[in-house]
Amino acid sequence: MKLSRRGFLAAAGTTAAGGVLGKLGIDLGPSVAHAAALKTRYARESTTICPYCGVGCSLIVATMNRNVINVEGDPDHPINEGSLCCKGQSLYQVATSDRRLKKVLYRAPRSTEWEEVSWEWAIERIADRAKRARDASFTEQDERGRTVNRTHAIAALGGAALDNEECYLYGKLMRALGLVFIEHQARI
Amino acid sequence: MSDERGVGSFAEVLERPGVSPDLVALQETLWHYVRAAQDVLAGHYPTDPPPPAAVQEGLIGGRTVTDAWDPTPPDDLLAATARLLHAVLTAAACEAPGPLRLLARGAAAAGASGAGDARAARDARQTDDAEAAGAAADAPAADGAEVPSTAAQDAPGGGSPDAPVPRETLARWFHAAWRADRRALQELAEPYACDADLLAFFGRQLARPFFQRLGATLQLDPGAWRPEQLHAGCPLCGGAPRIGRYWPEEGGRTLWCDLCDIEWRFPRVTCPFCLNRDHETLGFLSIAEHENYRIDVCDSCQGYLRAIDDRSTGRTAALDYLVEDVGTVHLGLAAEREGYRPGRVAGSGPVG
Repeated sequence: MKLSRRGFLAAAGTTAAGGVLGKLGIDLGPSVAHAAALKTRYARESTTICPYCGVGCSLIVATMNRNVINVEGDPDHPINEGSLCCKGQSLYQVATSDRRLKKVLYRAPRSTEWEEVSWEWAIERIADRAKRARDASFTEQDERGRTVNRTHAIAALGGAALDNEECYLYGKLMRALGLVFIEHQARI
Repeated sequence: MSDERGVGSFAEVLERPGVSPDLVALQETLWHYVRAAQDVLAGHYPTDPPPPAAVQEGLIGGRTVTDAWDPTPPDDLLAATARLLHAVLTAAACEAPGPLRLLARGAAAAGASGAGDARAARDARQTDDAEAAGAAADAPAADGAEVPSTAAQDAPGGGSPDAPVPRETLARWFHAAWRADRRALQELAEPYACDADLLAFFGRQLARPFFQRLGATLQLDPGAWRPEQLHAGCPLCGGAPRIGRYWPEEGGRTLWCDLCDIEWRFPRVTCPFCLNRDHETLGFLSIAEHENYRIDVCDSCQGYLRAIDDRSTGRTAALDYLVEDVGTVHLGLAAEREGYRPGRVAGSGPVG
């Protein structure tokens, strides 16, 4: 290890500046040369919670230039400790797949074709269908004459992406319609 | 893991791109010292192991083991290891006269006891004479640069290489070095006309076998989770981690301390140096040619941490992090080009 003088580079305290290694005559030339040819890309990671069931697994999402480049379970979260079910694991596709639907598609009864419709039209149609199904099946009294005001033709399965407040309103709406088959998929 | 590391792994790392043979040679030399010192310390250090309460504090309570327990070894062990390090460095023709001198004379002072004083002092003078002869025999540098004299290598100060060395000098050096206490190292360097950076570096090397023995006795489970309080730095010495690793399956991260040669679990998306958890100021650098590595960076403290990324490789075998450290210098240099610095834990200074 022959000693040779090395001047301090602008940045003190770095490996490149030499510091102690420079004072010992350690030649970092090969590393400096190799590093000069390396291109770095900067990415970020942030944590989030799976939008699906009530377990609430945590994920780490890596992004580069505002694009999602990786999704994985968060190993440090006590709930899932890095594991994910297949739905959570597929969130990467939710974020990045070009096969995600961007428009509402409607297939009329007996039709073999999908047609694009607007949200407004679709919501009106869904409301209309729900009301008709409910009206057609609405029972005011059961077979023993007791007032029931219910429908057995519709069941509600909730939605894992609904939060507590949304579930509350959802439950109210279903009961207002007269449903009794009210469940939530997350607990099945 | 320490006992299994052989010369072979250093030889292998030389084949990787961007590795500095000088640095490998230095680390290999120092490893010889650490390995030999283990034989000296076996059965003698730690004399009384850290109490379980202190160990628990270090693992769970958010402090380090050495916050609650003093690792300074007795003078005779320090003297023995200092002599050993001196011999290893001299055999490798290491040109750091200041630290070498302090090692020799500090060992003599620490090991001296009454009747042995005269002989110890004579030994120290003989060592100094040998160093002076060695330095004078050096050929001038090939590039025509100034040939530094022994005094010129070290910091010019008011001190003198011949200043008397008290018995407790090695202990002070040990204490200042493992804590990376910049001011204490400066105070130690001045009386002896030594360079503080070199004292920091060689003091840390001197301390390695002690801390590695401590680390081995603790038998830290790298997977152990510390939920109660997060603190930056090695659970044993509190120093900045040197390198990290991402593991397959769950994708957890561990950190490694080069002083203690221990590995511990640490959460992701958290700066290991300043504990920043803001995802907008944390990131990582990836390099196409080195896809099984990443460099975690923090825009708050500007620190970087090189990490081996085994999430895709599926590799769970124990790795030689000392070799990885030497083999990934280019990653650090790339990070420094982006404006980052080797990470530092608050309260500690750079040790090179």
